[in-house]
Parts: sequence; C-alpha cells; structure tokens
Amino acid sequence: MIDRRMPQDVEVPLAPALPLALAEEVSRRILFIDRAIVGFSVSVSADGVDGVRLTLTDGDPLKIAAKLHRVIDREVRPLTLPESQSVWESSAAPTFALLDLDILKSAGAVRMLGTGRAALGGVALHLLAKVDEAIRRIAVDSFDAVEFRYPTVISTDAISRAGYLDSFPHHVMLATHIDPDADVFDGFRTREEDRSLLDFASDTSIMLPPTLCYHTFDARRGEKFDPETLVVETCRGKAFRYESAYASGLERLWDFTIREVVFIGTRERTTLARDEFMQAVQAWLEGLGVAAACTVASDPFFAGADPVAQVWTQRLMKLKYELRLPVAPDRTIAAASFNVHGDVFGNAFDLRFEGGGSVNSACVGVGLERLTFALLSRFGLDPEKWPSSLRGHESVTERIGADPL
Amino acid sequence: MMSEENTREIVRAFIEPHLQGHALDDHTDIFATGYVNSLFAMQLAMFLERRLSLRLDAPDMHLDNFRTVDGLVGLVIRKQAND
Repeated sequence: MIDRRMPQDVEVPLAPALPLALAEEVSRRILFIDRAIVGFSVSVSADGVDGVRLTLTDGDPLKIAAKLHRVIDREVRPLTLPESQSVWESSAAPTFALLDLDILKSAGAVRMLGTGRAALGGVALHLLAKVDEAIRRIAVDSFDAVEFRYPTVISTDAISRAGYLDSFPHHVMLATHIDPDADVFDGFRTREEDRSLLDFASDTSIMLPPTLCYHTFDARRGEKFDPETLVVETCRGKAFRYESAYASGLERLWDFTIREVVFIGTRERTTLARDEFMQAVQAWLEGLGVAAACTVASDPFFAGADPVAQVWTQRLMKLKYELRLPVAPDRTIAAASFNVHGDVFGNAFDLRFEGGGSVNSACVGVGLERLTFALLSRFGLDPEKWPSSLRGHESVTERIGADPL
Repeated sequence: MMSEENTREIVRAFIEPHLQGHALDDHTDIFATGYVNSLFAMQLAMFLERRLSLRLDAPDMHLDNFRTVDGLVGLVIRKQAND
C-alpha cells in the first residue's frame, strides 16, 4: 500500500504496445479507472503506446494496474481506428499571448472557485458574450434558428432516453432535494456532522444536463414533423460533466456554458446543415485570423454497453467533428463539436414525420468558456489588440442584460 | 481465394435481411435506406473479420468501404489480393 500523504509514480507497461492512434482513447480513460490516480503520462516509443506512468495517492498499485489493463483490453485494444482525419485547417499560423491562470486571475478575468469551477469577469466575460453572439447570429441569421432558453435541470428520464446513463456513466451529475417529510426534516436538522446528505434525499428524477440538445428533444417529445422542413433551434445554457481531474483554468470545467444549435429533419438535410454550420464557424474563425482545425472525433464512451462499437462507428461514419484551437505551442483544446445523430434521438424521443418514420437530428455545441480561453490565448487581455468584431461594448451589454446566464 | 461473384453473394446475403425487403442495388448506400443505423457498420466489420477471415487495418476504415455492396466487395477483393 502507498502512504496516502506521498503521491508516488508507478510505471505500468502495456504489452504489446498499442497503435499511436489509440493514445487519446487510453488517456481519456485513465483518470476514471481509480480514485487514487491523480496524474498520469502516456509513454510512447517507436512501437506505439507502450506504457503509462500513474501518479497514485493511495491504494494498491498492483490492483490499480490490473484495473487499467482490464479497461484497456476491453475498450481500447480491440479498436482499429481510421487514420487521423483533419477536414479543415485555418490559414492563420499559431500565435500565442501565453496566458497562464495567474495572469488571468490578476487581470480580474477569472476567479477560480474550486477545481473545475470558474467565474469569468472583465475582458473574459466580455469576450464570452461576443463569442456567443457571433455563433448565435450564424444560427439565427443564416439558419433561421428559433431561440429558446431552458431550465438548467433536466429530467432523468430524458437523460436516460438519450442513452447517456448507459454510455457515459462516468460524467453523470445527480441533482436532488431533501425528502419532503417532517420526520426527515427533523432528522436532517439534527444530523451528525459526518452524516451523508444523501441519507435524507431519495429523489433522482432530475439531473444536471451534460449537454443542451437533450432539452430540445425532450421538449418536442412525441411531436410530428413536416419532412419538407428543417427545424433549427438554438439555446444557451449550463452543462455539467463530472471529471476525475480537471486542468487548471478554463480548459476543462465541471460547470460550463454551451451555445447549442439543433437540427431536426431528414438525414440529408440535417447532415448538410451540420456541415454548413461548421463551414460558417470556420469562415468566422478564418476572418478573425485564428489558427484552428476541424478533425473527425469521437465521444468519450466509457464503461458502457459497447464502447468499442460506439467509438469506431463515430469515427468511421464521421458522425462527429471537433473544432480544435491551439492554446500553447504544445497544446490544443477542443472548443466545439458538430454532430449528426441519425435517428437515435428521433427514436428515443418519439419524434416522427407526418406520415411515419423517425426524424434524424444533428447538433452543434460550442463550449463558450473554452473558445473564450482559446481566443484570449491568441489575442491576449488587451481588447485594443483584438479584432474589431470582438470589441464594441453596446451589444454585449445588451446581451448580458437580456440573458445574465 | 473467393471469387468476386461468391463474395458479392455472401455480402448481399448478410445485408438483405436487415433491409425489410428494401431493394438492394450494389451501389445503394445502405445507411441512407433508413433501415439500419450507424452501428450496423460495426456489424459489417465484424462480419468481414469473422465470416470472411479478413483482418481490417486502419487504412481500411473509410466509410466508402462499408456503405455499399460494391464498396464491401472491393475491400474484400483488395484485402485478399494483398494477403
């Protein structure tokens, strides 16, 4: 056993080595394998990914290594992924203002409230509003999107229908309340300090949403759609994904904001709309002079029914594109995704065409804090040095006033 | 090595039961028929590996190899020729 006060590095060899293309699939799972893992690095040699160095605070290294092998053998080793496919790269060369968290904090742009929880202020808040407005304008002006604003919480039934509980149990965030009962209130008020609050709460019928398109599908559950019409809706709201560890700063948050655009219609029209929206975002970034790329991607399926099939299918069918922007010479972050769902959500939420057949859907999700951070990393904290379309205060003030989320 | 005609027959025999009687041309995009979802691609890959003993590699993972009978037959023929 490891002394829990002294984090210790442990080497776990992977034999045979995994193809380099699977490095990301290994990395995205490690921090969920055991709570004792607080850090890691993946070892790469000419043979591929040949080991993982784990930083452990606790636990039995042999048992943790066995768990790591079990997950990799079951979920990663069987994957034969298509070769990395970049579908677009902007013409701008990467340029960095090299912002770290301390600089953002001292400029009043960020306050960290705890791991994965950040408050934005000052120029960061201004920029986030401008970024959101730019994406919203694409949705409304070019795609005739109708706007909605949803409650933050969502029904567990909606999350379950969407398949999230099966495919992404590691990200699930519950929300509950103290059971409405006089005896429970008495017990709650006089509880011992170390008693779990969950002892007094049994309702799990609502959750915190991991993404926003589920709100749209749930709101339109059971509706009939005209096959000649492409439905486009947009909303902005909070999303929540539990992570075992968070990068410092704005790169990976527990509680973050998404500008979402949802398309409902035929397979052809929803796929085309997804692609055209992606091109519109690319054109906007090109106009800003930002280095960026779109690549074929997959979701972090983990511990679900068949993560191998899900990842493989997403990559092969190009169901998901990811927008990646460099934030440092050696690091890019994903700031948006452009997804087609086929008829998965049409079936799950009973969304049908008049005359029969499940609708298809697609969505675009832009992570506003991440995109803001990427643009701050590119342009710095002085708005005078930003592209003119990101400056200008009136519209931002109006927007913040209208929607203080 | 299996003939192209045999391969085509075996591939069609695997796909057709999933299409609820929908006509299947050799160039029909299986996924556009609406009768199978995207996860059917994985079933196709497993079918190629198990029934036809192919070993699929990263360069084979292109959608055009999986979405039509022609694509699947072409993939099988190419892989068998390279073995």
